[in-house]
Amino acid sequence: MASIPYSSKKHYLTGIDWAIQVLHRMTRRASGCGNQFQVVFELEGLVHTSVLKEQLSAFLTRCPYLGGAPSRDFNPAPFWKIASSAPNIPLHLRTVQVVDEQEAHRALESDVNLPFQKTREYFKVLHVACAGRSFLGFTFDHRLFDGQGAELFLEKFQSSFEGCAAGIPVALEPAYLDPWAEKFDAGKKINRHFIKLTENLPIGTSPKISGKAFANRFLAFSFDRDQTSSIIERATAQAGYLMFLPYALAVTVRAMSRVLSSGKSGASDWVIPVSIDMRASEAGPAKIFFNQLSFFFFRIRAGEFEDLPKLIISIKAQLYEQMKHKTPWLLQQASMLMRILPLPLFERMLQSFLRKLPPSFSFSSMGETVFKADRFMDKKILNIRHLPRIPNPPGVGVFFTQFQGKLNVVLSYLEGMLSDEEANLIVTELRRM
Amino acid sequence: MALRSVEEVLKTLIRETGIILSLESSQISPDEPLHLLGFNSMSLVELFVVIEKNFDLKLMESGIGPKDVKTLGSLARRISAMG
Repeated sequence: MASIPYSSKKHYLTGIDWAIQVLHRMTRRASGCGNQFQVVFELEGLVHTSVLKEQLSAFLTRCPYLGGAPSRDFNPAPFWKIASSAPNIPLHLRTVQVVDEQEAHRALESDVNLPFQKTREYFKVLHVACAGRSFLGFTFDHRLFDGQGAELFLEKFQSSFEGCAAGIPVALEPAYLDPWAEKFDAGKKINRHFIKLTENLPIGTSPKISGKAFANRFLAFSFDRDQTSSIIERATAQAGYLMFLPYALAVTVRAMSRVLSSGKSGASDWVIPVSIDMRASEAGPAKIFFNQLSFFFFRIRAGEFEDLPKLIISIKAQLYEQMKHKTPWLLQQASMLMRILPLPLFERMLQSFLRKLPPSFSFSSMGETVFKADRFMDKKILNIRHLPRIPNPPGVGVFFTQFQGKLNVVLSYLEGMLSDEEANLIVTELRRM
Repeated sequence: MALRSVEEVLKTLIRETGIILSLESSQISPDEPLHLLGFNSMSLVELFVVIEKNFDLKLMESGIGPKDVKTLGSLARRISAMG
């Protein structure tokens, strides 16, 4: 096949990026707001909004990806059309004043559920001033950033604020159209994996959402350093050294089973998508833009939802098998083929697949934040947490991150999918981990 | 089964760790706990898979214990002792 000529204005999207575009489309049509997430910095002291706006506006002009948009021309791979070298990038920054942390949380939750105002807007900021502290809610469009990329972006901004960096260079990706045979082979292997994964599963139906609310709700809590150390010790004792992911997933399955398997959804096996960051396995400096993600899929037997030791054994065995067969890498390769599909067709295919799965939840455990500085805009950072909106299905997810040795947990769900009582029950269970 | 020296095993483990974690060999100390090197659940399992392939072992069935996987050095000694 002829190679596609490079262009300084085209960054070719990967298959995973194309799938994220589909999720964005699905989410926007269902809720009016796209696939976006918020990274919240809790800071000691009040940030000067005017300085933040001035510094960020200057920084954004050095990030040409932010003025771009997805596009496609004569070749089969879609790309991100990059704006001119000094694009005029809109920055929506609001400040609100609240009296307590609960109100701050509500303001942040409300903001991540608001769509971007302009077509080529992928980043916005809410500054919540609360009793001598600042909560900076940075909302990112998932089409251009994943969780770790967002943190790396903010780290670059912080370096720029300190006068250490000149902006973010554009690192163009080629189309990776060749070798096709390798991608077909990966596709065959992934297809076999999914057939095995969904064998004898009852045809699922997504849980009905009561009412007409399509906002995401978030219940977030943190463990302090001592509590986190105790949790890591328990994870080591029960699952093994460095086996936090299997332990956290097992605990989450047990917590979610209190709600998802009792009543509204019925009890069938679950297939749980677990998103993972693939940056560590790539050579060179960590990429900031687009989605460097892949997934594990775990099948959890209905009879094992509450049996923690059995759950841990099962999850570890499945983790081992998927690593042995290189499933996350194969998924990345295989998804490259899906870029041929126009978004509406890809969306129909993905929805038809997802609708067959029984109700479940999404999960991720990102580990320690990649944002390493102690201060942001001269203010001490007290915490960093992520609030991701969840596409439906599954419409519910649990996410673990750590900041300076403190574990953060977030339950995210579509309003109407869980009652307040159910959400609180899940959180109560997770707090006991 | 051929005998493997600790040094030989360690050399392989350091090389593979470098690939998995995108680190230079000089950044990898055999006595540093794996979590401080940057390992997590996924990368540790990836290392196990590579060890099994390289040394033709079934680690999961080998009776390997938590003390054996604290550092690359302890892991190398255990693998070497397996013959």
